[in-house]
Amino acid sequence: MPWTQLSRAVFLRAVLWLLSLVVTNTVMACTLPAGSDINRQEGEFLISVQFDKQPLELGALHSIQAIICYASGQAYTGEIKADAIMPAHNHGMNYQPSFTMTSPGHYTGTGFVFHMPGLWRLRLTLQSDNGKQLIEHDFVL
Amino acid sequence: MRNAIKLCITLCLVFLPAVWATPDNETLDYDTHELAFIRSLGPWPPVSKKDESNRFSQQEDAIELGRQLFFDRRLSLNNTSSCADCHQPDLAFQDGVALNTALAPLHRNTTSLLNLANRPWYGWGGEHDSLWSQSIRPMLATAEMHTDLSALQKVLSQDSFFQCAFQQTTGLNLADLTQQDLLVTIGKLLASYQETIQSGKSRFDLFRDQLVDAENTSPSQKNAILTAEEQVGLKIFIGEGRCTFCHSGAHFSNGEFGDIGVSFFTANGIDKGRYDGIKALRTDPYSLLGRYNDATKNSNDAKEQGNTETIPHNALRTSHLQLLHRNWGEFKVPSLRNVGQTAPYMHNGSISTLMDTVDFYSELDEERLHADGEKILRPLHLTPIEKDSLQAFLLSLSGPIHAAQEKPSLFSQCR
Repeated sequence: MPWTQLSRAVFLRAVLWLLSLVVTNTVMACTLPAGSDINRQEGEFLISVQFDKQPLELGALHSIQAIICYASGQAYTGEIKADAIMPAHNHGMNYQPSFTMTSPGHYTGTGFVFHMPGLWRLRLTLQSDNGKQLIEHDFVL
Repeated sequence: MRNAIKLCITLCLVFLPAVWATPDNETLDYDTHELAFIRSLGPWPPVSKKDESNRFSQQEDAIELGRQLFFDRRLSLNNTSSCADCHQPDLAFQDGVALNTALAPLHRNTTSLLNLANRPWYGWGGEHDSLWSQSIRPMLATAEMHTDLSALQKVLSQDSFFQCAFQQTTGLNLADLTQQDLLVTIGKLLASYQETIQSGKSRFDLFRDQLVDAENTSPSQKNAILTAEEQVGLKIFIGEGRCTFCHSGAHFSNGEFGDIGVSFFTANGIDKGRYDGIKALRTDPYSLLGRYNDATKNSNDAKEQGNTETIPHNALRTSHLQLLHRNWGEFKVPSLRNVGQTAPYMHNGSISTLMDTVDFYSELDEERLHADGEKILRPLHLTPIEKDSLQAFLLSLSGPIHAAQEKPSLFSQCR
């Protein structure tokens, strides 16, 4: 391959690499929307959670949209475990919610059924290099 | 002494039950919390919604053919019984006995078929997640209809009218179907009819509507639809009785399961209720996670587009269900609509009358209940007047029952 062609190929690759770096950083930059049902910092995490509807409906199947970032601005891409309990009665839901990551830091969780009126505690567990982080949120149905 | 008498008179004036001071046509005072609970018990009837798992749901000819099948004894072994023999229209679509003895003694009470459309779980143990799969169950049960599918297919195929009506309704040739497809199709036709079995507005619903309207307009304290006694019962129901913990929403049921201390022993062993119900559901070929869910067709499209994890949206509840130790001995929270017409009560029909049921809750055996935290159920120790009031309120939940009527003209070309 002539040098001119080789240097052009190297140049193009370098441009593509730089472009992908810019795009990746743009995608990975993790920010929380305002006005969610839950919007706060917990340990090293920034968390936003939005239920599919408000007010929540007793006995209905609900889903949530969660955005989870590290305080550094990086998106969290690990596993989320979730449950919800009624602290006064010491029982939880009859269902085990599951989460799917739709894009880095963005998750859809479903399988939430709150079958009794009263105080509920939503519990999300995240796993980072620094260990597990439990996020709890109380609400009344 | 004089002070004591004064105190007594004052207390009596303050705490005499409102029912004694309230004429029958006045609305009692309700605080914001009570109003919210009352509002949550409606509106009624619910918005009619097609069951997406059943392609025949809400189809006129399917409802009529399902109605005919519901009364057809050929569905059972040796033509012994039809669905309607145990779910009698004149008895709120139940049988009025504690335990039926169909082909053999049963260990669960026959439930009413009122208002079954679009509920999350069916059966005392929630063994099924659709009305059509629940409709298949008695056909397969040896102690109930014990259907001989091969014989049924033969006899229905020889019935030229039925064959024609079946073809018109389903687009399927009866004789060509596999036995499983025949079973599922009959289940779906039966469900289409049962979706039409509904109770209309009860006096409670009219009262609730009146109260909600009054909230939105100028409040009117006169001409309440419920009597003062019924309203006192309502206050117990949504207040100290904690009945709405489980009997919530427009159906007066949260659709889930609970252990209220009724015996789970049967004549031949133990009925584990929801625990075995979940296990049965997980192996049921007719659950919403199986191939007979008509909503899966959309999901198959999604799978072809590369999304292999897609679960039909109407099966998400089933797929997220978890089996817990506490499910042991839990039974379905029944709807209380038309409860005055659905005696006997409880999963085993062990309580004969509505007043006996009120007594049961009033004097609950706490030692029989399992609760690690604050007890959800506790004995109410109601006075005789309070018991009467609670019963009066429960009786106000009855509305007129209606179901699809015969429409022979739909299959006129088959005659």
